[in-house]
Amino acid sequence: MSLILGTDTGGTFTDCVLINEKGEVYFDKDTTTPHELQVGVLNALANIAAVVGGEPREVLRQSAVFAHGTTVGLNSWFTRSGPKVGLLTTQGHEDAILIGRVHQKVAGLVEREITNAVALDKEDPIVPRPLIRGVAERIDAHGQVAVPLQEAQARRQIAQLLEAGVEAIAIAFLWSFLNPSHERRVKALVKEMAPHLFTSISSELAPVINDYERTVTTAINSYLGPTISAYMRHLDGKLRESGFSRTFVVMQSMGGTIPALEAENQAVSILNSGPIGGVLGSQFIGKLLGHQNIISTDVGGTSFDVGIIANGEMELNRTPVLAKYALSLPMVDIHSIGAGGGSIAWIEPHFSLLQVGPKSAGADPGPVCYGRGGTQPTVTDANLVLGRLNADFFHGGRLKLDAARAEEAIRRHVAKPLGWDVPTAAKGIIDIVDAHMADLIRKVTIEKGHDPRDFVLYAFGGMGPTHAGAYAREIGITNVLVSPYAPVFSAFGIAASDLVRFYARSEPMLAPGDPRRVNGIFRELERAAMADLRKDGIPKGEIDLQRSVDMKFRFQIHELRVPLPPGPYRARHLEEIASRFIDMYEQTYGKGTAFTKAGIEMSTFRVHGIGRMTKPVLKRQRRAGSKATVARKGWRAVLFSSDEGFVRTPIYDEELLRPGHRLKGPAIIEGKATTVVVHPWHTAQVDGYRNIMLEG
Amino acid sequence: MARKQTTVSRATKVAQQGAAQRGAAKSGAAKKGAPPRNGRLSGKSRMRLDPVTFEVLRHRVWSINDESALTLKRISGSPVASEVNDFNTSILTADGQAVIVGPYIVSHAVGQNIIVQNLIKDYGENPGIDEDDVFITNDPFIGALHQNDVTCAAPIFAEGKLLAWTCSTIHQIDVGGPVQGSQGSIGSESIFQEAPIMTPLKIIERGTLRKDVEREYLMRSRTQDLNALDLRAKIGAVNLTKRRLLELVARYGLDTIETCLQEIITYTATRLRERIRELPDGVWSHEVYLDYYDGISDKVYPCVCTMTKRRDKIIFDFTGTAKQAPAIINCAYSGLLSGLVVSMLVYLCYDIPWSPAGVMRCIEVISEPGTVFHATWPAGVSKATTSGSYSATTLTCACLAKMFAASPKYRKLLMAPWIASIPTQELFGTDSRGQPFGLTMLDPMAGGTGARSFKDGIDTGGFIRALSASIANVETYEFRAPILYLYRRQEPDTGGPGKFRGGVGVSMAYTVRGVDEIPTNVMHSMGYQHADACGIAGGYPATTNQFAVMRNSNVNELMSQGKLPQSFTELRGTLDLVPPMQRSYLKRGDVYRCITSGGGGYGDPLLREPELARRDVVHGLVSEEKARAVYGVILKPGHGEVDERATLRQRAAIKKQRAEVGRRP
Repeated sequence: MSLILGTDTGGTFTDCVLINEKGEVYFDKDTTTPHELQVGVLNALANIAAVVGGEPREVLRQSAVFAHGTTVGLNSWFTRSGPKVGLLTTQGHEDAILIGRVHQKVAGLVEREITNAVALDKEDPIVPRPLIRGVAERIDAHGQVAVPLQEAQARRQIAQLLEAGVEAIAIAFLWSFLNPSHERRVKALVKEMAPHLFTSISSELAPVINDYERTVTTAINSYLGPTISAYMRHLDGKLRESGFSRTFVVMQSMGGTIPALEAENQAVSILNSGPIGGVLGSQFIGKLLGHQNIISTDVGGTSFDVGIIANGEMELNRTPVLAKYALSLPMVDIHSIGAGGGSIAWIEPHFSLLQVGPKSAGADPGPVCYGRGGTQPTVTDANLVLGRLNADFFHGGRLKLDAARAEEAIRRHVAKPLGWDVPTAAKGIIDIVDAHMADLIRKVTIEKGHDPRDFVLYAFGGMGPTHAGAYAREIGITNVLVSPYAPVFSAFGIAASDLVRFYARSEPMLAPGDPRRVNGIFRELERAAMADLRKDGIPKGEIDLQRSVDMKFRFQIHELRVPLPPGPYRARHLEEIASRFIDMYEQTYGKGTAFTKAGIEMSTFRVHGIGRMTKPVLKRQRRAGSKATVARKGWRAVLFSSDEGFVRTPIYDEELLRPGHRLKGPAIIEGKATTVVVHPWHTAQVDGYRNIMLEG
Repeated sequence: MARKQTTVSRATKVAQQGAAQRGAAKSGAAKKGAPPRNGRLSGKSRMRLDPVTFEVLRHRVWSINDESALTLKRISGSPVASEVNDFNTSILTADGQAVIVGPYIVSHAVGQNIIVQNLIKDYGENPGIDEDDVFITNDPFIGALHQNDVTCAAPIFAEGKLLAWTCSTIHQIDVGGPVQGSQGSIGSESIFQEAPIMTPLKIIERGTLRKDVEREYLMRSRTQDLNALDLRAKIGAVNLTKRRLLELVARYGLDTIETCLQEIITYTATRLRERIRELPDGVWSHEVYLDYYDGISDKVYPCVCTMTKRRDKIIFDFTGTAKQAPAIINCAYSGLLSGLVVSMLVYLCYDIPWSPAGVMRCIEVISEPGTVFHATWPAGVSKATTSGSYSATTLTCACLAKMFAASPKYRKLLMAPWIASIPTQELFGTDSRGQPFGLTMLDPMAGGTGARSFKDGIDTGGFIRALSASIANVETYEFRAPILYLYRRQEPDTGGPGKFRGGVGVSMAYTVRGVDEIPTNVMHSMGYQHADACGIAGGYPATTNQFAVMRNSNVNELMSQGKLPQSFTELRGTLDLVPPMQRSYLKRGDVYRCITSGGGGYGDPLLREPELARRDVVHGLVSEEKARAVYGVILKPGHGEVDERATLRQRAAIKKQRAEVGRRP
C-alpha cells in the first residue's frame, strides 16, 4: 500500500513515474489527449502498470499518493474556454483591470516585441466591462471603513450580474487585505442569492497590497475555478472507480502540492503546475547529493525553462505574468524563452544574419528529419547533421530520423545563402541557440545577484542533456548533472513533493516593529496552517511551519523576503531580523547600496505550512570500476568544434553505464529518451544513483 | 561621428554664451563626414565580426543594459523609478555614442549621449577622466533633459584603455528650487529662479564615493533620503554594466567588444537608411502649441516642424518655432534632439534594434538657438520633458505619420499621435503619522494612444516616450500620501474620433484623508488650452488635459452616508478652475480631479463601423451623445442594437452640414 505515482500532462506527452516501497523508480509516457486530459493520464498509468508487470487497478489500489501536474488551467485560459465571469469592485475602480497600470500592453514581452509599438495591445479583458460592477463601499489605507457597505446597492449589482448569466463571480475591493469585512459580507450575499455560484474573494486568495494584481488574481481564479473543479472531480472519480482510495494531490505553481479537490478554491495557484515539477525534481535530487545551488534547465521541443534553487530553496517570482496579466500570487520563478529542439533557423535578410527561433516547428510537422512534412531547418536537424543524434536510435529507436533531408534543408536555407558549408551552418545554429539559453540563465541568476559559477546545472527534458554541456560552459558552470529520470523529470519531481500551504498577511510597519504585534500576526497565521494541515490528515510530527517576512528600505517598492526563526520574538530578536535584512540586501545589490538612514519596512508576514509526505528512497548502488568500455556500443563521426571538424567519437549506451564509470569527452551517451553530448572539455562520471555528472 | 559631436558642442557653446542670435544654426547637420551613401550596402560585406559572434554579443550587450536597468529599479526608493519606470540606462561607445537604450524613458539615452560627449570634450584634461570615476550632473545645457533628470555617467576602462561609457538617469522627485517637485517653477523669470544646476562633478573618484559632492548634491533637495537611495541605485546600475562588459572583454578580447559596439550602431543606421529610402521623398509639416502661465496670465507658444525626406535621410527643420519663454516650458537642444529621436525609433525602428546613435546618423536637425525648442542660457527648462521636448516628439510623430500615409507600403503602419503631454501633479506635506512625504503623481501617464490605420488606439495605453511605462497602484499612492481616490477610470470621449478612434485617456479624483491639509499641490500641463494629439487622414483630434478642484465640498458627509461621488455634479462646493500651471493646496473636503487627453483618431468618424461605435457606448468609452453627433450612430433603446436606418439618416445629415460649412466664404 505504499506506491507513489507522479503524473504530468505536458504539451506532447503525459509522463508517469512510479516509485515502489523499495524506492525503485519506473517511468513511461503516453500521448497527451488535449481534449480529455484524463484519458492520457489513465493511458500512461496503464503503460506503467505494464512496465512493472501489474494491472492498472492493482497499481492504483496499492498507491498511497497520486500526485498530479496538469496544464488544464493553462489550456482553458489560452483557449478562453472558461465560464462567463462577473467582477465586483469598489465603486470608482471598475476599470482597474482594463487600465492594467498601462504596463499591461508590454507585460511579459521581450525587447523586440516591446519596440514594435504599432502592434502593441492590452490583453482581451478577463471580464468584459459590462460585467464589472462597482459596489458602494470603501476601506481606507489604515483599514478603517470610509464608506459603509451599502448592502441594498450590492444586491442590485449581484442581481444584474446573475441576470446577465454569469457562471462565476470574483470580488476584489480596495484595502480588503487590511479589512476583509466588506468582501466577506458581499460573498455571503452572493451565496445567499446564488448558492452554487463559484465565488472568489481577493482577501482569501491574495491578502497582499497592490489592487491591480490582486484583482487580476481573483478574476482569473473565478475564470479557472469551475473548469478545474470539474476536471479534478472527474479525474478523482475515475481514479476511485479504478481502485484508488488514498490521497490525490495536485502540484501548485508555488511548489508543494495541495489536495486536488481543494484546488478549485485556488485554481490560479495550480496554473503552472507542470514545469514546476522539474524544479522540484532538481531540489529533491539536490538534497540527496548535497547540492545547495542548482540551476534547473528544461529543454523541450519549443521552450527552454529555467528555475533556480539557491541555498536549497526554490526562487519565487512574486508578481508572475500570465498572458500580460500580472498576478499577485507568488509562483516558483520559471523563466522561459522559445528555444528548443524544434526552433527554426532562418536568415535575417538585411545583414544576412543567422537567427534561431523563437518560431518552432513544434511536434507537427516537427523538425525536417522527422519526415512529417517539415521544411525549415531546426535545432534537432542541426544536431543530427553534426552527428550528435543517432538517426536510428532517437527515442530509443521509436522514431527514425532522415539525415539526408535535414542536411538538404540546412544547405538550402542556411549554408548556401551565407556561403558556408553545411557543418559550419549547423554548428552556427547550435551556437546561437546555446547562446540564447546561456543568456537566459545569466539573466535569471545574475539579475538576482547569483554568480552562476556557484551552481550545479541540472539538465533535463528531451533535449537538455544534448545542449547543456555547451550552454553551461558559456556561463562558466563546471558541473552539469543528468539524472536517469531526466526525460520525465517533472513527473518525478511531482511524485517527490510535499504538501504545502501558504499563509500571508500584509501589515506594513517600520522595523524593528512591536514584538507583541509581530508575534500576534504569526500566531494567527500558524494556527490556521496547523488546523488545515491536520485536516489534510498530516500527523503533527510531520508538520513543519516556516516563517518569513518581506522587507525593504522605506520608500522602496521591491522587497526582499527574509526567512525568520520560530518565535515568539523579543525586541532584540526583531533588531537582529533588521540587520539580517541589511546583510541580505548588500549581498544582492552590492556593498554600499544599502541606505539604512531611510529606515526599514516590514510589509507581508508569511507562514509556509509543510506536510511531509512519503518520499521516494533512491538506492545508492555499488560502484563498478571506472572503465566504461563495457557500455560502448560503437563509434561515429561527430562535430564538436569547427576548427577540428568531425572527429571519431565513442558512443555509449546509457542503460549499460554503471556507477563508478568514468569517460572522457568527446563522447555521446544514448539513452531511451535522451542523448547526452559529452564535449571534449568534459569528463562524464556516473554516480551511485546512475546520475551522469559532466565535469570540466 | 566627429560630426555629431562638433555640432552638438556648437549648439551647447551657443547656448552657454547666451548668443541668442537668430539665423538657423545648423545643428546635427550632415555637411561633413556624411554617412556613406552607398545605397545598396550588403550588410555582410561591411560587418567586421562574423555573424554568429555579432548576434551573440548584440544580445549580450542588450541583456547587460537590461540587467542594469532592473538593478536600478529594485534599489530605487521612488515610485517614479520603481513603479512608474521614469528612468533609463544606456551603454555608449568610447566616443560617447549611445549604442543601445532600454525601453523605459527613451529620451534619456539621447541626453546621456550628449552628456558624455561634453565630458570627453571639456573634462579630458582637467579634471581628467579616470578609471572608476563616476560623474553626476543634471545640467540641461550639457545634455540632461531638465534639472530633475539627474544622470550618472561612468567611463569603462579595459586594459588601461577607454572602452565605453555607461549612464543611468532617474527623474528625481525633487532637486530643489523655489517650487516643490522642481518642475513647475511657476513665476520664474529665468533659470536662476528654477532648481539649481549641478554641472558634472565626480561623485565617485577612482572608486571612492566623495562625501563632499554627495552632500552638495543632496542638500538642495526636499527629498534627500529618497535622492540618496536613488543615487545608490544609479551607481549600482553603472557598476553592474561595467563589471559585465569587462567580463565580456576577458572572454572575447577588447578588440572584439569595441568592434561590436560600433557595429550595433552601424547595423541600425544601415537598416534604417534602407527603410527611409523606401518611403516617398517629400516635405511634411505640422504645428503644435506650448502653454505657459507666469502666475498672472497665460500665453501660447507655437512650435513648427518642416520635415523633408530625401533619399535615405530625413531633415527636421524647426525654423519658425516661437522664441524662448522666460522659463519652465523650454527645452535645450538635448530635449529637442531626444524628442525627435523617440519618434524615429517608435515609428521607423519597430523591427530594428534601438540604437540612438544609429538613428542620429540618418537625420539632420535645423533649429534656431533662442527658441522654445533650443533654449539658450539663461532661459529656464524645468519642465522640458513634459513640455518642449515632449512637443518635439508629438510634432515629429505627426510629420512621420503623414509621410507614412503617403506610402502604400507603410500606410498600414501609421499611428496618429498619442497623448501629447502628461498633466503632472506634485504633492508635498506631512502624513497622518507625522512623516513628511513628497510625491509626483503620474497617473496621467495613462493617456490614450493614437489610432492605427487598421484598429483603434489603446485605451489608457500610455505615452509614446516610454513604451514600458507603468502607473502605480491606487493603494501605493494612498499608502504614501494622505489621500483617498473616489475613482480612477477610463474617461469616455477623450479619444480622438475617427474610422478608428484614439485610445481614451484616464481620469481620477481624490480627496484629502487623515490630515487637515496637504499644503502643496503643484499642477502643470501642456495640451491644456488646445488639443495636441491631432487626427490623421481625416481623423479628429483628442481632447485637452484638464485640472479642477472642488473646494470645500460635502464629500466627507456623502461618504459617511454611504455615497461615493463619481462626478463633480454629485458634489456641493466651489469649483476652482485651474490654469495650465498652478501652485496650490488641498484642504479637507477639497476634491481634486484630473482628466487626460486620449490619442488622435484615424479616418473619418462617419466611416466607423456602427457596431464598433455601439460597443464603445456599452463599454463606457464613447457617450451616446458623441456617438450620435460625431459618429452619426444612433442606438436602439437599451443600446443592444444599432438603429441602422436612423444611423443612415444621421450620417447623411452630418455630411450635408459639412458641405454647407464648406460653402461658407
